[in-house]
Amino acid sequence: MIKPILAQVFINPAISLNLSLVHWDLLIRQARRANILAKLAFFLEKNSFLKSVPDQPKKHLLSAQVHANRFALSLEWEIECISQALIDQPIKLILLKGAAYHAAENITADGRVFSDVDVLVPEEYLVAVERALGKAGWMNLSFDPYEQQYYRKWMHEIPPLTNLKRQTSLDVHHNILPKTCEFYPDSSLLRDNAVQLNKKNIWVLSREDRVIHSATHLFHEGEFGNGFRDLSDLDSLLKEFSEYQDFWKHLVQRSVALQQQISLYYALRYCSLIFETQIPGDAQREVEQGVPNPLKQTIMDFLFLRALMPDHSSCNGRWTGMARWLLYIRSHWLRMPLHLLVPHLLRKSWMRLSGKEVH
Amino acid sequence: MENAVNILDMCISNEFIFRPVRMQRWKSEYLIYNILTASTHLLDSISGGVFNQIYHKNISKQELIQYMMNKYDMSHLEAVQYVGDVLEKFQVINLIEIRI
Amino acid sequence: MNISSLTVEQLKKKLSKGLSFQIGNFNICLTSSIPNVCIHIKHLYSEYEVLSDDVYIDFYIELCSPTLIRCYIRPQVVFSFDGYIAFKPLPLAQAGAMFEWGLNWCIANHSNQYLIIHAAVVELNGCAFVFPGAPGNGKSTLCAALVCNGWRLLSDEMTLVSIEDGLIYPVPRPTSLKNQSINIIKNYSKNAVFGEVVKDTAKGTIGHMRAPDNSVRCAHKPAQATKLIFPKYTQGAATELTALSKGKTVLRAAEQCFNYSALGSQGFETLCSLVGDVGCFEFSYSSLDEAVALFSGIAH
Repeated sequence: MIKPILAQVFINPAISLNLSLVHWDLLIRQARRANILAKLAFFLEKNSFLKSVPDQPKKHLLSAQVHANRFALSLEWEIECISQALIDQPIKLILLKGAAYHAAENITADGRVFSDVDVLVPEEYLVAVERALGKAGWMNLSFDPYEQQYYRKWMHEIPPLTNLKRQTSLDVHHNILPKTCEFYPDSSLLRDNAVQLNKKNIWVLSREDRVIHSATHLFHEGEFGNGFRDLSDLDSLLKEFSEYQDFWKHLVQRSVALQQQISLYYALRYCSLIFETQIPGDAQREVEQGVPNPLKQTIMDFLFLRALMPDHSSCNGRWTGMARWLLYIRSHWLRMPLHLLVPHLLRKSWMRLSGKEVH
Repeated sequence: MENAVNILDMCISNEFIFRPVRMQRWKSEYLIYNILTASTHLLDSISGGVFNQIYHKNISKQELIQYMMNKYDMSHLEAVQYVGDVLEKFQVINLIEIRI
Repeated sequence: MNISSLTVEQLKKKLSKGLSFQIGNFNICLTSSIPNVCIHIKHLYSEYEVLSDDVYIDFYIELCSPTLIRCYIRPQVVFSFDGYIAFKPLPLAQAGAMFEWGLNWCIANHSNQYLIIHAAVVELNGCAFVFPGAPGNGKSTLCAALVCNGWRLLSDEMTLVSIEDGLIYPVPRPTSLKNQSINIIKNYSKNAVFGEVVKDTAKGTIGHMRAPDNSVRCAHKPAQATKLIFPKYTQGAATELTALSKGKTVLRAAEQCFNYSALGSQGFETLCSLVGDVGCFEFSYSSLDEAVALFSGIAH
């Protein structure tokens, strides 16, 4: 497999010292399309290579850092506002994904820019939480009855909320996968294992669960515009957490408890193939117990090794479009039984064609 | 930047919690930039002066009332009213939090 | 080598594979097989330097049809920033204007080494005057008139204030004019060169006035701002320059910045620094001649 130059730099940042301007040109383009330009800048800076970047590409890296720094401050404020809005709710306010990485100061948060804040609350408190958020200015702006039903009946989150004053988005989840999924995890396991941070009522999933959630999200995902970025999150989290004793053992155990062995298997496999992430032999053998049959494995490799590449013309091959489309269908098939899936996909296609789709 | 003041850290006095800001003053105008919320506010010379006082002098609300009476020749009632209004305004625009 | 040294055929061929050229501090690679685009570049960018293939490119831009059908039925053009489609398609006739709007977007969203004000900026005798303002207040018409009277054009749309040194860096491009302003400037100066005038855009009728060759040649020279002026054209209004307080100037100028928010406290500091160093004014006018005379008189 020929790795894109973007992956090569994340594997070995020292190669950035010997890149020509033509290589830098391509590297910046891939990073920008993968939504990872600021992350690349912080990564090079952390490894003391940013100062050696030639001026022309460097200004793009610095420009992306400016945007990411401002984003981090806005996120800090956003988290505070959400926490304040839910201060009277007798729940742990658990942040997920990008907001969690930021609050927990994970390395992968450096330069990570995203559009929504995601939180996890108990299902029985959804109504109270939505009401409290409504009082603080977060509203659901969709009045489409089908969309309301889709989310509230079948999914693991309520419809997206928008803060009217700041125009920011908030996704409130009660689980990490839809109810209609075959391997629907017990969300109380996630909440019981959550870790409180040094800030008011802000919690994040445990280290192992953060990795599993990231893996679950990516390998149930239907749209891969951020696929490469999300895989690089996994690589970064694994590297950071492998410093902790028994991390790998607990990671595998949690994947079993949460029924997410297959997602974890794919996560470790593709991190290893694309980012050369070091996985201890024991852990590797344990996760391979969840391995799909060789034919399925070959098909998945064919699809994911294309779909997870940066969405840039230099990385898109003849079959990339088809791979992404098939994985899109797969993601819906994983979420919904056939009798719900077919009408849902037909409706989605119609909405897209007529330009009405929003989320 | 002439007359610029950088207050980066969140400061806490007995009565107020301050947000990190940058401040620029020109004669009778005070520009305050709130680093967290990214909003910019223009305060007149009186309210700007009040903000400057509580930020730098760590004075209490009572001392502030006295300050207004002395500097602007306000009656006690006028000063209490003004200070109450301006502190509420600062709180609404997220420059301060009034500690209970 | 400038674009003018290419024949139409050579230009078409380069555009089909990617024409690289320089605008101020930005290197652009434009790919398009649309004939309008070739004409737009030929007429309005002839004095810009062509770059070789191994040069670092800041913005890869493609203007093409969104689908095969849209090549022939109600033909459309789409703007792609290195594969990312930033806007909805427009009618094919607006391809030249779409290039200009799209390039504005590229610069505004990816150049945080500058504080970028939605403002025209022109220079005479080493004095750069910045004219911020919402669409419709007459800044582009005023800018075009000054440029027809020998002022250097740094930009008609985006004032780039360097975070590092506070100077204004030029990005001279065709001046975008709307509706009546097009004829006003055509009548005002016989030397004004226009590209194709396109009707029925979202902004009305649009035309682009070519940047003077000298402004393009001096695109590497930054300028020091000396005045910041909010213009307002009102029919019949007297020519009047009124001082504005620095505090109010910062607030109004911040509203006109593309990336004031993104820059955070650096944006605040840079803007305060700029405003602190310049004269700040509101300007009302109805006569271009009087406006030009006034500004030329105070540019020293």
